[in-house]
Amino acid sequence: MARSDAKRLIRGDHLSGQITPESVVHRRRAIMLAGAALTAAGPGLLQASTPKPASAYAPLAAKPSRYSILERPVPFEEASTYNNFYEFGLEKEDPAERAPGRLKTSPWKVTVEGLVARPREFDIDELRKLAPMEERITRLRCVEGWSMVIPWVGYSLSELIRRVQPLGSAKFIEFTTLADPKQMPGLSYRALRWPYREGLRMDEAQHPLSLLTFGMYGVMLPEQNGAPLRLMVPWKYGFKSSKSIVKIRFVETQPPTLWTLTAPKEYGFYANVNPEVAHPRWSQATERVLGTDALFAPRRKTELFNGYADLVAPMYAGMDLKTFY
Amino acid sequence: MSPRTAWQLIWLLCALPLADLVFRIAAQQLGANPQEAILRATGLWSLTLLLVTLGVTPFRQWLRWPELIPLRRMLGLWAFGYACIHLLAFWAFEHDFDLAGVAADAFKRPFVTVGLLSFGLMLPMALTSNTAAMRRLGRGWKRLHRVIYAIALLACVHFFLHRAGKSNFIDPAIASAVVLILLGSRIYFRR
Repeated sequence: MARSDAKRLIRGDHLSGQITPESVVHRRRAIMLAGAALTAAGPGLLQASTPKPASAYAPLAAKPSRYSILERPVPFEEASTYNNFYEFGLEKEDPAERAPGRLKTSPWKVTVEGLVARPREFDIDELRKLAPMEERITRLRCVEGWSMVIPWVGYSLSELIRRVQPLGSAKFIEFTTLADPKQMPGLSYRALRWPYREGLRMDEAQHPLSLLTFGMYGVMLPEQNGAPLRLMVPWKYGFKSSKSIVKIRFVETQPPTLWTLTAPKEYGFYANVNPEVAHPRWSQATERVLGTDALFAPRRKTELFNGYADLVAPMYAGMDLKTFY
Repeated sequence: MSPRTAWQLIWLLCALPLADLVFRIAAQQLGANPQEAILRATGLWSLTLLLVTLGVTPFRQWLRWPELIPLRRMLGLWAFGYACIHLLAFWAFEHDFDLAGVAADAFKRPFVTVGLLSFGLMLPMALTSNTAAMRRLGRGWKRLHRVIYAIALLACVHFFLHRAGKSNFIDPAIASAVVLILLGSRIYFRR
């Protein structure tokens, strides 16, 4: 990282959307050169698809957040082409190839229902204006053992929760992702229990770190990243952060989720980032940091609660995190 | 086409996925997680070439085409070569070249245990793939090299375990079916 960039990051006044890391420029140049070489060589061995740059999306203004970490985000291109969004296919490149043009994000309605005093349907435009947007740079830690630093734009989910007035009996919130086979070709894959459902305990959902997210890199969310709105719960594995949400339901008991229904031994309801609790097939003690360019870069030591232990650990006081993984 | 030219052509075909991988690494075209891409590609090519290797003998018998015999060694060695890169990549990318980490995984995680076991069985076969070893081992060589079926089945189990998270079992099921059909045909047509 260039020294001036580091200073800017520390001052916290940068606009991530404007950063084009030198590495990306180099990479683009390398791809162009390689492409030229291939064309010259005759039959192309590979074809590089050209993903949309951040500038192709509508801007979304936000003020810097005090919850941001002082780390450089991965290039937009990587955050928008390496996605787990199985409604569009099981491979990481599938969502970027299939979601744009298929997923219709406008008009978009979100139903808020269940144990609340004021259940109602929100229009996405109304939700965008509900509270002031913040830009939060957080580390997305995937349960698969990699992480990406991404600048998200949104506001605390608690802003919405407060407005619908949950009843005392509401103990959990269930989030449902759109499941429309016409828009989402991945739904034909029947081994997963669609629709994608996730859940949070009430206190987790109300924690200021839980971000109702509308954008990233200073622009509206790309379809493959969960447009038009998603969650970002930074101390939990990425799969807890539901994408393209259509329903938010307040309930009394812990709701079943797609992953606890599909593979309960591998993915638990809490899914708090925890280096001590291994996945059956791999350790969670370390993670591969994406966007570093160096093939042999050492892995990063995974932090308890993804580094937010000071802020969130009290919610789990007295709980055995190995049992409630 | 002479058998020699065919052999050379197939050798080049086997090298192609590796060349493609090296090219993509150099051009930084492997996406956001190149380490994962390398691990997956080498694992997949090792298994694929293992299946092709298994197919050589049944096809040779069926077509009565003894010229196919030399292909078997070359294909098998390429399968072993991709397995070597696969293991090296696992050691480097998943464990930062820490052997203790690999060992711990080997005992704790069936997914890794099965993969390592499959590789461990490939090792003596690769070492005895040369003509001198064939001569020295005589009839024992044939017996030793039947282990390839165990290797292929273990590799299929490894592949199944890899896909367990998303329950995406189509590819491992195809690979297993190929192994079982080839093994079945060997047993059925045993002379």
